[in-house]
Amino acid sequence: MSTKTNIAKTAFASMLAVGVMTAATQAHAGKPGMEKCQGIAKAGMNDCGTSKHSCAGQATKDGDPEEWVYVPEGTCSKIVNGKVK
Amino acid sequence: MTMSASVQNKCEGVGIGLRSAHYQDILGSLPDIPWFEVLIDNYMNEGGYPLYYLDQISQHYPLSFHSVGLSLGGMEALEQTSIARLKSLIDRYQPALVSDHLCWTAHAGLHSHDLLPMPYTAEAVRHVAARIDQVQNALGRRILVENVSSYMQYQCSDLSEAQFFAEVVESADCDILCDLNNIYVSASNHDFDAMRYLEQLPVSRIRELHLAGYEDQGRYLLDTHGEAVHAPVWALYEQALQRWGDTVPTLIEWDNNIPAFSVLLAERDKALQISRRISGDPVCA
Amino acid sequence: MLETLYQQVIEGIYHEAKDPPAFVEHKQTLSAAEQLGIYRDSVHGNLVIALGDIFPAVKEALGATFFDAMASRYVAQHPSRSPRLDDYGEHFPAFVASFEPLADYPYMRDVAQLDWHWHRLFHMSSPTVVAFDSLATLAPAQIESMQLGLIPALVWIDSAYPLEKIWRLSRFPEQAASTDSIDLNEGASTVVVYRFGLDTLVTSIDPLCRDLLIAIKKRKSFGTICEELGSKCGPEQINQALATLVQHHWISELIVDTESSGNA
Repeated sequence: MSTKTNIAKTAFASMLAVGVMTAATQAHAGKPGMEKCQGIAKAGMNDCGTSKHSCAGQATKDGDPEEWVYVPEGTCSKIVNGKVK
Repeated sequence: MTMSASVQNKCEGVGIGLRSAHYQDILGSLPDIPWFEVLIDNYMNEGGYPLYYLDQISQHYPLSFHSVGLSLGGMEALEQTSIARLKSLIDRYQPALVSDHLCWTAHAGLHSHDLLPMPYTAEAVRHVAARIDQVQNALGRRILVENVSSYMQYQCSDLSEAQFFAEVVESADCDILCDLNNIYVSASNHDFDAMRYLEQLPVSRIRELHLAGYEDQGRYLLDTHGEAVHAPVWALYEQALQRWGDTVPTLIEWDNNIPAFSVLLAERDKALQISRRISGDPVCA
Repeated sequence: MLETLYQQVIEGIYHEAKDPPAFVEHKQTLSAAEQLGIYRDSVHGNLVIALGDIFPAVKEALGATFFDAMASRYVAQHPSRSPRLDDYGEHFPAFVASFEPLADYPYMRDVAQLDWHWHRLFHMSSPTVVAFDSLATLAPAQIESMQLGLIPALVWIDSAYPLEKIWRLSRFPEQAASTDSIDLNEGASTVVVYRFGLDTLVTSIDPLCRDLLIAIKKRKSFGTICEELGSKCGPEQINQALATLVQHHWISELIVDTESSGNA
């Protein structure tokens, strides 16, 4: 039996063992090291399949291409070394 | 999954528009609401939380399906995949009512995702009636068609909106979803009499009423469905019930700036008070 | 007649015309151009709102004012071409990447890419994963020729930055309140977006895991994969990378050649 086959055999056995263990613990643990809340976070905002009603958009005016006067002021202020000089 | 046996597939009384922000409120407390209206375009995808929640809610409440995407008045071929998907959702959830709007939303490959008004002409009547007929045949059931708010009047229109609406539903042999807020908004923007509009609609076809809130922009009213129902629309509701009877199912619809669920319940209570006043009976929610 | 009218309206909505629209009646209160303008603003406004819903981390990272103004320019260049509003924004990551005022924020395109995949995966069916506990034993030749399948609801993004951290900070700012700052010099990462049941999840993986995903996606045989990885690392690490895939429920199936059991 070649080394290749041997590695594959061992890897497969190991994968199988992890798989059986993961399946057994799944019901209790959910998933390893993952957050629970993300689905719910988006569940409150899945309404972009449609817009039913009119929007008083000032959007067109704000999108005036003449001049860009806006500065990012969100969470990106916490990201350092971001400026490419 | 289908409704549990105890849920009757019927829309009666004052229902509320289902919005994802309220899934937890609804499933947590199972409030006493006779039915929910589902913006079905939000559930056209293959899976995930939206359909999971719709499954849950359908086990406790009758549903109606409300679509914004068929572009009934449009010129492009009806989206066969959308219609097939809608049909499969209808088969799965058995909604009591299915509706879309008397408008168009797309042309020449460009989509507005807005409810654009049709011109009120004989040609437009024939065109949209034929398309409604096609949809009814494809779905194997009658649909309701809703009047939209409008901010623009076309030069070529030679019918009033009410005449147009009445001719379309007769010609297509479909039912009416009458949005009283939309009538009020259009009446105010285009200077016609809202009550006179109601009088021109064929009573026997009116299957549902919508109540919602507009935004006053000064020179015109904008239908944002993002506020509480305004006083003149409540007044119109009272007149409509006097005219059509208090048994037409009514929906509280709120689509933008979605408030706490309790706010919708308060709006529902207002509608019930009016309905109670008309019938002279105490009305059960 | 309808055809011409609709063409004029949709043109007027997406490309502001110089002349007032002749097909709209003039009113005392609102000119023809103003009436059509209400629809133009509404359509643009709704698309800007949709972009904010679809790209929540980008919006949070840049603040609503900057984001909405940027989104508005995107809308002006990209009319919606799908009947489904949640198809809108496909080209937004590329737009963000080339958006001049964001030249100093080179990671923002990756954040947009992550938001986009998150949004697409959110609406997919819950994946079916392979049931390892009910697998039959396989002959060595079958193991070697076997192919692995990945769940369809899985995408990975290569970034030159610590993307998961950046995205999390913006997507769940309340959970990241204690994060003082993220240093972009932390360097490159690979982020996987995937579905576990109904949940859409995000995690970072190491380079070996990434190589493994690529090899599986290329439909290489299990033997070849092990051989290729084996030239870079030891069997322990291969096992570890495979374990990561299994534990995250990314493997949907094992495609086994039932004929090959005899020719090892």
